[in-house]
Amino acid sequence: MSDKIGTDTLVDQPLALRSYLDALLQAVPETHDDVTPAVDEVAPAADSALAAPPGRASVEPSTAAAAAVATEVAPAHDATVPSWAAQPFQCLLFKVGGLSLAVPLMELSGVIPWREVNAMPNHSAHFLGLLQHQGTSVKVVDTALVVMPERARSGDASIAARRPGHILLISHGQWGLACDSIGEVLTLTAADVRWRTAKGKRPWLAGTVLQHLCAVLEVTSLTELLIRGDR
Amino acid sequence: MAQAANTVNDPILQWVTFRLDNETYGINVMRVQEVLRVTEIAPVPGAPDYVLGIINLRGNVVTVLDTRQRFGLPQHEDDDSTRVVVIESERTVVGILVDSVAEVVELRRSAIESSPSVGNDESSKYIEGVANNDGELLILVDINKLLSEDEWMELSDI
Repeated sequence: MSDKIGTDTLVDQPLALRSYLDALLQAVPETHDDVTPAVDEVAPAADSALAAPPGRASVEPSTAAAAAVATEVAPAHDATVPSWAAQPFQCLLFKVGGLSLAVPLMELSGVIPWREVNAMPNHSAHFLGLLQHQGTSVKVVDTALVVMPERARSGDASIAARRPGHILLISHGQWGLACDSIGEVLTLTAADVRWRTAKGKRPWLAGTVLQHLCAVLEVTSLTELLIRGDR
Repeated sequence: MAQAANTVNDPILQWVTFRLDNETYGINVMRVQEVLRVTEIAPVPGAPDYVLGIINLRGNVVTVLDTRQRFGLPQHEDDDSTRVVVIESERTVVGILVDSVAEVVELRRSAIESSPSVGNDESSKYIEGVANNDGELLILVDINKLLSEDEWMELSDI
């Protein structure tokens, strides 16, 4: 009996992880006020992953962010492929709250080690504050709260355990994305990425990369969302 | 001559700086009447939560605002550094409780950046701008926007 349970767990986990990324790529009902709740509603398997005991929850999201699969088929003509993906491009991998993300290097203005920021009173929880860097006031945001607000609200252990290690500068250094750690630089082609479709409601998501278990950021749209406050 | 023209086009503004929860804020010096050590602040029953109470300032009643509450900061025990900054807003004279008062700094208007636009944070509209003062970020507060129209009206009834 116990063996069976163990086997089920092993089978369910990859399914849950795949569903997580699938959910990211799927459309969210228009009535939602943020961009990520589809994980809760569209992907039952992801639900089970998020509801798993802390020991599992701390492991799954990193893989989850990457498990792009063919179950949700996005017709090629529906895919939203950014112009920068017309040729092979490089991305920097980084992690937030157990989630692996990738930012295209051409959209990256710099990376600096984490420093305490000047907190601004009464701003949204995802806005950590201002950082003075090379004469510019960089607006630093908590990336985990921007891309996974539903996990933060649910008290997810991985989110709670996050510790900022670096700040990724985007939009000519106007914005900074706090991240736990940075990883390697990948060289990808458009074919390597499962691009978000036009129906997707997460403009910050360019697509997902199964091979590297990560989600690729669409920086321009992410910045627009941050300015509008429409996470 | 050129310097005089520059001063007209880009005036120097003076700001009284104060500390709250390890951040430095500034208020236009023209708005500041005086800075007081904390004496007894008498609570006012039924007052809004952003009002700490009232003080007697040479026979005049001055309402003291709970700046930490307004700024969404945790409460803090008063100590020797705690001050009440008496400010003349467009509506009335109020006091704001701060952790400490630091100095008066001069900033050219051009050195002041607009308040960071991060979403639609209506509650932080009182941030007039930010400036870099010797490597330290100064958050400039527009006292007139510290309270909403309704709250200023409410204050006048206390």
